[in-house]
Amino acid sequence: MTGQQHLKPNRRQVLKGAGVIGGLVGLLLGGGILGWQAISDRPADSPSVVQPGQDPSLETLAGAAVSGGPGKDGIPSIDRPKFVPAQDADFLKDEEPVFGLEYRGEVWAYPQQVLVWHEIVNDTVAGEPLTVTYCPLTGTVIGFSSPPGMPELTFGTPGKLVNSNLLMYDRQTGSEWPQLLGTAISGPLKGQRLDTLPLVWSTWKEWRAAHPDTRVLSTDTGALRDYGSDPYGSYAPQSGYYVEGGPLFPVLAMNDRLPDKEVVIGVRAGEQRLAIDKDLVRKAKTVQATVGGREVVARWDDQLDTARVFQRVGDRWQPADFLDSMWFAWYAFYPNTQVRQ
Amino acid sequence: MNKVLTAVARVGDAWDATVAAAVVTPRRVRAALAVRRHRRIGLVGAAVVLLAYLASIGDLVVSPSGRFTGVPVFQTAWEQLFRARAPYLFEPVLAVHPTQHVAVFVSPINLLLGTIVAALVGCNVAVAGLAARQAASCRRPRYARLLAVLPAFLLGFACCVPTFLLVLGSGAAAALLPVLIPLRPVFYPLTLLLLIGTLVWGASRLSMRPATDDSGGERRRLGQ
Repeated sequence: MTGQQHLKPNRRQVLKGAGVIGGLVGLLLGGGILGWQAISDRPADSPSVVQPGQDPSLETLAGAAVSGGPGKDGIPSIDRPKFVPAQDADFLKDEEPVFGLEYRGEVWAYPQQVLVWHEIVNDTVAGEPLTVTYCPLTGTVIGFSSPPGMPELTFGTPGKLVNSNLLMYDRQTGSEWPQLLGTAISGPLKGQRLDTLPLVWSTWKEWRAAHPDTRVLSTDTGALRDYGSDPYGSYAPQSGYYVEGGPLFPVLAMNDRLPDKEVVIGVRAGEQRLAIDKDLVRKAKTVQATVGGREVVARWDDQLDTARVFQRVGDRWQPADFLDSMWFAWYAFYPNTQVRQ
Repeated sequence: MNKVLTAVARVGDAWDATVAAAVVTPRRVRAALAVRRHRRIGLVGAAVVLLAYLASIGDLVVSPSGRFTGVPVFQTAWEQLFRARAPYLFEPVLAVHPTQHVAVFVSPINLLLGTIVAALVGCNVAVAGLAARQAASCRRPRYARLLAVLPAFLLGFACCVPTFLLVLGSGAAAALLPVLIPLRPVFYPLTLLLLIGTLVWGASRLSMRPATDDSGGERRRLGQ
């Protein structure tokens, strides 16, 4: 470029430069807007959205949904589960956790090492549709079925979390259901609640000894995964996410009455909620309480090394609506829970 | 006003220079790869990045304890070929367990995406190696070689940040995940853009004079 050109810039170069600057500004603006939208889609981390004396509303929970990383059905549900007899389940080690289900005389084991990769099993148990769900981030296992009057539902993963807990969507209506809540927070079925069936945490050795005739969910799931490894940590021996630190994703409310990852037995009766420290049941063997005007009792099962909860209905004891949960997750959904520790 | 126009015109000049650099980049990369020593270093760099990429997305698993005992050597799920698990992450269609210590989950699309990143890193390494050799012969400091190579490696891993954070499982992961995960879709294209940018920049620094290949003693003319 000559000195004369410096004095009078080349018109073509000026136009070219203006085009480049305009393009860059456009790109930066567009990228900035998209980035801002992506980040601002996150809910406010402030627990102030939960009012004192009230559990979070369905709207608050719906607004608290965040992306968990994988896309829709990126964590694939098992839709055609295959089961093997106990003697053929050689992929399981004795100390590995399994989730046990006893229903109408049938006995099933869902290995944690399989569910950690799938989270949802759309199953049929005793001839009835049943969805078995597991959220590794909150340590919660729940069986769901549709109550009378609701269409039969099958579930998938939308790739989102609420209170660090698995959010499910049903494939029939697209409504979204936080697993721990079991109530739709958005979609046509918003406000409706699924029937629950409790599963118990046990180990393969104990479950197999108690139920030698059990059927076991196979690793032949239709997807290829590194079964036997756990991306979050380990339960035998306990390590990683399952014992260290707090929740990975935002939660609406926190409480330090118990350590975040302490396991509690959450009990729901009517509109009341109770959390019992699982260690308390292990030591005391029996813990009695009143929840929502109902008598409940948590009993330790030495054979399966787990706790079960029953509620009095008339003069009979029936299984209550209960589940194992990490303390932080139970509290985030039910900040008004009673606590026994 | 004239000053503003001059500045804008300089942006136009810079654009021309960038386009010119981009145009000569393939020829210069070919020339750098033609030198056996730099080709070899580039290949090693690319192989390391590809293996690290596959390990970070879980497609390559090594178990020192040998926990793959009893797992079938081959398992297939061909119908999953185009099924995405996350942005730029696809389902494997073939699982191979050649020994009880190694598992390889093959997704052709993941392999392609990893190979593209690895090839760009390999080219960056080869070009940076040659540029550093030329810089050394001009008595420029030797750390220039390191400075040229490091960004290429770091950028190669950038797309796998969420996976690495999850492995860490630390408080930092809890703080960063909610921000990083929504931005994950841009990691891979951003990595490609940055790798291409550093490649063009690296290639433009190559001297146009003949280069000497110590290993082969062969002389080649770079660029145009």
